[in-house]
Amino acid sequence: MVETSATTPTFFTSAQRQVMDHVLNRIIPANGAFPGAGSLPVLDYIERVVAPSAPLKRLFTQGLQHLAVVSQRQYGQAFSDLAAEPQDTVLRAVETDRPGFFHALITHTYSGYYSHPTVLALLGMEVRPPQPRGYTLAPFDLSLLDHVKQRQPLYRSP
Amino acid sequence: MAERHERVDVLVIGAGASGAALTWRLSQAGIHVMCLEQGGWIDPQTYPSVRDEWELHRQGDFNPDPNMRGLSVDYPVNNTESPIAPLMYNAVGGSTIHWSAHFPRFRPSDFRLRTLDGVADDWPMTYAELEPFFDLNDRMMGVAGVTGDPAYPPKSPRQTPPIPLGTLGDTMVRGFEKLGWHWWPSDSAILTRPYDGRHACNNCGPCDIGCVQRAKASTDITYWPKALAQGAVLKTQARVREITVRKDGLADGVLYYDADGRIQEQKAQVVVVACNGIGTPRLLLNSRSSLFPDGLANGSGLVGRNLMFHPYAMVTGVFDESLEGYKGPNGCSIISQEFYETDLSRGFVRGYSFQVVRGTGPVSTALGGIVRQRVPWGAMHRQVFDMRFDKTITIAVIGEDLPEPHNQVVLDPHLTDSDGIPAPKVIYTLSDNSRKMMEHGMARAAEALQAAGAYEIQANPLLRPAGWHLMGTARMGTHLRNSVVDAHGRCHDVKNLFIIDGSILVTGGAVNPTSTIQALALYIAEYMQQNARHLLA
Repeated sequence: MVETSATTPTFFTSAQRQVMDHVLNRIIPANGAFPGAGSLPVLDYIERVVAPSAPLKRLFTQGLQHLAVVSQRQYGQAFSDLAAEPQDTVLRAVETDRPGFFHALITHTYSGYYSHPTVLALLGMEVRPPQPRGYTLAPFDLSLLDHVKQRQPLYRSP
Repeated sequence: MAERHERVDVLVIGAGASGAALTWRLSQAGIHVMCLEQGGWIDPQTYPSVRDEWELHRQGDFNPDPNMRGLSVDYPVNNTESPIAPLMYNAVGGSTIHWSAHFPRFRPSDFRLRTLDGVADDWPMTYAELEPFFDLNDRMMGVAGVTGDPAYPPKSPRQTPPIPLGTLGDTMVRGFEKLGWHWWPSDSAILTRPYDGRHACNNCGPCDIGCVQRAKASTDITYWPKALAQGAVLKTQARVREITVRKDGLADGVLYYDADGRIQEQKAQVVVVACNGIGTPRLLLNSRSSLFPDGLANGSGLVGRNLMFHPYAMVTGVFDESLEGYKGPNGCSIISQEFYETDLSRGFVRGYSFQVVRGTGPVSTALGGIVRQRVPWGAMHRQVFDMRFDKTITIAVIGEDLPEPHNQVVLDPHLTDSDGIPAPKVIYTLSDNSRKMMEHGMARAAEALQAAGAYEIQANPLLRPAGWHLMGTARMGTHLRNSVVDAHGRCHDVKNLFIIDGSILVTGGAVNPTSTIQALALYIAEYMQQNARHLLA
């Protein structure tokens, strides 16, 4: 996960942050030892990606507006006040109506979540980048090829 | 007014796979070579694999698609009329910076399609004629592999032993063995032991975001240091706008933009184009003059035509057990050429290879892995992710796509790069033959994965971000009627202009082309060196 820095630009209002926490917990709900995406700083990651990008800011602003409209229209309530099942229904409607927003939402939620050290540890991975240590694998066992070597040439000689 | 520089013997445009090889060979012979590259040097220590957020760089500065990266050294490619999106990297080393370093050679039959199968055209040379140059290039790049593969004529010893298989590779080998199909540890330009001052691979995984270890061959660490030590000159952040011509119709040099966007003029006795199968026709088509109103060296009308990608179908098997698929070079290196040669009873001509690909990291897995089928959000998310993560093997079906004139690179009327140079547009459709080939390959790949123990199969019949191999757009041949260049990469209608990248391939084979492209570049360099007195007169 990218380090948070003091100069990180902000984008979401506090009201939007509250809604997004609920959204993230429905996209990747808590399950067993795995926390929901809203319980990890995934939203901070999304904000760092969205804040510097005018097209992404537009997508998220319009997408969250639409989410609020659908919640009110279908249930007469704010998204944050809905139970899990109606929240999923609203999100499915937004997925259909605003595919660009939803695609960006999923991409950056998954990216923030699955690069977080807590999640990597739960997946049984060593919490470190691939380099400089790399991984150890047994050398190639050349005797595996004995059988293939016995075949007739497979190429045509023009 | 352009700033002028002293004339050089040979000016090479592009510092990637082929440009590096030719520059090294000519500078070794004492020829004064200058190379212009629009990208810059990248310090291997700065590649993302040392950072915690390494996987996220695939969405940014290490996205293989230049349109997605959008770096100032890149140029955009209009890919809206192609089901396959071209991929490339712009830097010293070119696309060898982000390649997986698969290094198989084209096979003998790949040079004789017309004679053997009655389709496309023969090459103006044979496998045997290129063989010494394959060998020389292998020594320069450093190849992991082993001799004895029945799919090829005997080869010289490989520089290091093959890439380790790991649990994933062992599992897949059992599938191929059960079916009795050919498989082999494909040649890879990745060192498994120290060689030529470079380190051995430490199996970190993501070759596609650059190799910190310098085990994967990229020409910035293989050919270039040697070429520069021999006196070759490499100018970076030098983006060529056009090749200029003299009154007699010979190439005179180039006009290029430097890092500050200032126009510069460089004259040369001989100009060599090495900008890849899209960049090369783009440059030639942008080099229009009263003598060459349809683009330079385009008397044949074939510049930009016969664009070939390798269509890739991706078939993923899901297994019960963990496969440790994130350990080891992600291209893995197992190749199967059971279905490479023509068998018309299959319903198509020519054939394909299988390449086994290792697993993906957590972010890539969630986003859909290699087949791009995203893990669903919501209540099912955890279950589906856990079923897939580190439990998949993917077989890439890489098919031979035949040259067709209507598949082409043209100039986009609106799109430009950051210097205002018109950008390319690709227009491409997949032929019936290729479609049938891919269908056959997907069914056989599923069979192999099931034989290895997969309980579920996912498939993507035509991967969109798969345009790694850009070929055919300035093809070799015998005459202006059928080709842009002759057997030595020399343009039929501009005798001091050479083309040496994937553009000149007559046909595309069904394996990764870099080994063959570089062997050809060395073959052409040999010709230029032997004829230097005449060429540089």
